[in-house]
Amino acid sequence: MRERLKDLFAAAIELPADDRAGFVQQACDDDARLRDHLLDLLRAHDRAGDFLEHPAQLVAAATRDADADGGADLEPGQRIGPYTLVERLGSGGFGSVWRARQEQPVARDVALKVLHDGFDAARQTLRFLAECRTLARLQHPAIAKVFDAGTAPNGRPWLAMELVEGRPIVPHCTAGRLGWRERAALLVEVCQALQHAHQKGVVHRDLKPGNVLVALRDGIARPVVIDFGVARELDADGDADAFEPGLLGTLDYMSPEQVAGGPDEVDTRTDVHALGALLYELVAGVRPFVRAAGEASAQDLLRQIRERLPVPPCGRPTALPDLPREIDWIVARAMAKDPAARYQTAAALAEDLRRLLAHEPVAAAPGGAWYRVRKFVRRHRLPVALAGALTLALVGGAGLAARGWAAASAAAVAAQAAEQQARIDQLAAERESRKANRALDLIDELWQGADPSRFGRADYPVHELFADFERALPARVAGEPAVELRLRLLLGRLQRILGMLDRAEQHSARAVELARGADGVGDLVDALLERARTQFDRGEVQAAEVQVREALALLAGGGDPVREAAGLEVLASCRQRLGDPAGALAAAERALELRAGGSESARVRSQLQLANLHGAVGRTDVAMHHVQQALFGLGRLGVDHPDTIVALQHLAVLQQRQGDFGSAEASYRESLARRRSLYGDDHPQVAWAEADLAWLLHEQRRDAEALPLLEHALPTLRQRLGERHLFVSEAMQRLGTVLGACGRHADAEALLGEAVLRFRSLPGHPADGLVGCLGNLAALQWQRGMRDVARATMTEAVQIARRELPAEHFVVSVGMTNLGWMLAELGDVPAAIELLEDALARSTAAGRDGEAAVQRERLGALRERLGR
Amino acid sequence: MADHEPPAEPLTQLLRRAAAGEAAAGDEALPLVYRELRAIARARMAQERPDHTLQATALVHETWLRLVGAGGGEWADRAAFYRAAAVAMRRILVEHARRRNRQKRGGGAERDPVSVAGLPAPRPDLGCAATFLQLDEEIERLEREDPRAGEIVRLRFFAGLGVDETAAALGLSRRTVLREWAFARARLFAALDGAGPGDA
Repeated sequence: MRERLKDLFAAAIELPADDRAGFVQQACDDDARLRDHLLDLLRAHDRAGDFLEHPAQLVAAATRDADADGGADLEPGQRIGPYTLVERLGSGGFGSVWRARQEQPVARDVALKVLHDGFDAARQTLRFLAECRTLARLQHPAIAKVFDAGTAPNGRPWLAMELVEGRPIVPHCTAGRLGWRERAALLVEVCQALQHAHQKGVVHRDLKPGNVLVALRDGIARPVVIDFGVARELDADGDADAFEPGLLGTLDYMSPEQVAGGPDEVDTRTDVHALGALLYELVAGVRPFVRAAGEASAQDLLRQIRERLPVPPCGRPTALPDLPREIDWIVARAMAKDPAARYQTAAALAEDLRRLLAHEPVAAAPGGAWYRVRKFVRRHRLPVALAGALTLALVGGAGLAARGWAAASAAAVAAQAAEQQARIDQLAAERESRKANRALDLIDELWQGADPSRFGRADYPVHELFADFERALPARVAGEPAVELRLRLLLGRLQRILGMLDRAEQHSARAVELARGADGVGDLVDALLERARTQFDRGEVQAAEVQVREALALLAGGGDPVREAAGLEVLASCRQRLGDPAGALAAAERALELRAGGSESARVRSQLQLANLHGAVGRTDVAMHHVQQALFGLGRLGVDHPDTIVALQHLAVLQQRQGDFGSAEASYRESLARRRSLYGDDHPQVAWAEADLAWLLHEQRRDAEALPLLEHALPTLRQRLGERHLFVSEAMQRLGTVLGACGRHADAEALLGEAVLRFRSLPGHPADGLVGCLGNLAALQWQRGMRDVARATMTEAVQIARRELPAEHFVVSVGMTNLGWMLAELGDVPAAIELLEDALARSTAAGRDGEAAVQRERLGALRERLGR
Repeated sequence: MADHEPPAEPLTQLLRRAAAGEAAAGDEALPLVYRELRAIARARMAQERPDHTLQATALVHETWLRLVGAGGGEWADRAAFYRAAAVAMRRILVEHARRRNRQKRGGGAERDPVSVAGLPAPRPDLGCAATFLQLDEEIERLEREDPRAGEIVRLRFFAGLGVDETAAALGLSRRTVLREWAFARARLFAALDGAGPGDA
């Protein structure tokens, strides 16, 4: 019977799953016992997963000596923190995991990880606990929750986590015989979980099938990522794993950079690689790299990981049926050897899988650029005038909120003053104690003036306060140039941030004058840079650059990297605005280099500027990388750090650029929520986050949702920043455009008209903003049937763009495209063609493929029309 | 390594005789292989952090290098060595598992492994000593009933040999090894999963 059973078994497992039942029935119809045996074995075969297939991992736990076996001395019933151990569930490299009971404040079972005390240097304990705190901030349905962490009396750290009753993802898929679509859908959820973690600055580093469980939640099988980072954080401590053959953890899922460089090389893209490997195993039925048996196979595997591309999943005999070739592309992209060639984010991988599942072209396709062009054309197939105009307002990089580094509010002013005071305190300890103390006293007076009780309301008028102080200033600082210099710098900076640019300019100009009369180079550099920033904000970019160049020349000897970096950052902004993206990038990159080793916060800001510049020239992937690196750095500063929130906003802008509206919306909303909780509802930071979210919704034609956001944002900005601030004008422009889309044409036209006026006349309002404003106004006029008026408006926009903006600025070519479209509609096809040809030449020269495709398509149609 | 020069001659001779079909020679080679394997495992584990795993494949390979040397040995000797090494490896694992299992007394018997947040325990979890010992019993039973399948499991699982090497070591076709392996794996899994057939 055994041989017959074996024969039938061998034959059955060769058959497609659906045919097996019939085969068994037919083969054993007279022998119920044989049939039952066979069915049992086939069931076991299907469920066995990788049972016995990997000797190494199985050997691990069993060979461990008792004294090295984590938790051997722990017993059920023992109490650790508020938990009572119930049963040991397993042990891993760092300790053991127990089912533990919590009675208060809620009765529940948790998974309690307890660290070994074998290698618990106090340092590692601290690291473990710090990491636990980071993990506790991860709030995602697909990430096992961390409840609590602490240290037992014997010094052993513990971590209480959600007890997930599920099974690992591979057996889950195998047992359920899930098709590739269902598996890819599960992986999308895993990607989203990782994306969430990355946005919080947490990299998993050890993602593998065993760390992804599938559990039933509300009756639906959902993946849950476990073991987030903790173990790896510990392992990574100063010890770049010794890769000795035969002594390995789980090499199979490591990335080339982990194999090659150790922990320092690891970033969020390492997790993207692991996600690719997981996808591979889910659809190909085997791991990407196979160890050659009998060899010292660890070395062999390491070499494969470093050098070889895995066999495409579709080429594996074990691959799932009907696997599309796109899966091969997606896997190849996710598992690229060079991190820069991978999907730059887990979200991008998720998005590509989503596209595949939705029968849309995937970004990983070898003809990726072409696919993207097609998508762009489809997205912008409606009147290109409107589509183009919409994009204009985003010119210059990030949206409003991302640009607003500092809060223009009393709170921020106070913070800035405190910072300045700290600096003065420092000086006081040095030579200039008398002068510095004097400055301090004066600042005190200023802030006593700010006592809300004096004005009878909390929201005291900052502008008046400054005015009072300034009136008193000259008399008070007479004969004390060093004191006056510091105060002027402070006042200039604060008022610049508040948008009071005229007054700021006066202070910084005076500061430069005073610094020229003094000895120190540092003060002069500070004054020059402050003046440059003010001039830049006023739109006097060339003048600003002159100041910066002088400051940088003073620093040419080196030795003051912090000031040099600050100067280069302003220079980068100037170069960008003057249409020299390459120069801007070079300056920003150098600035970031100089920031290394300095203040984390300054480094992050520098990196975000670099991201912004890359984003502005269309290198969204690189930009995304920098934003994520920044976020990673910010993980150390905490999620509610203002810089983190700004970085989140940058991320959102980039996601929006990439057309990943879902992720962008999530990021904007998170940023907005954090701002609200940090600053309250009526704060400029909140208002411009609302304006950005509103613009995203508008791009998706969800204007009804955008409207209330802008209706709240605009009055807030007006009240807080004053009437002359650029952001007020921008918000006005957006509200006008959204009102138009909602059908409230008269209101829309009034607001857009006012925005145009502001852009024409107020300082610090850039020309590209004016062009965008005019473009949107023209689109509205066109919609209302005032076609000739619209043409005139648009013509003016294009004239201004050509005159004021760099030739390759995309506002120029988009504006020309829009005007061309209007002219063609009005019957002047030759003029339209001429404009479009010019625009196409510009967009092609600048490498903007998507835009060029639209122009080419439109040109083709027009030439055809002309030919007829 | 000079002070640890392996007794290469005796072993290769023993292996050669074992390869020629002399069962007693295989039995004599076994303690030698066992001793070396265990020594290497101990030394490796002592040097390393407790979370390191020791891969059977590499351990067996290193033992071969120590005892015979990189260039040494005919393939037939090597095959005989693998068979001895598989037995030795298994013995080491079982000893460890027994010891751990004993230490668990009073600490509550290990129950069915469950997958939880933190440590996924594959079902059945062979990292759990009791489960591992149960597997050992089931393999023993398999060997009694079906020696060829038992040998394949030993070489694949305990010595970490690939399908082709297993086939070569036992003088079987690849197809036969695959077929026997699939069958044995299903059978063992069913037995450990609590839903297995009684006997076959």
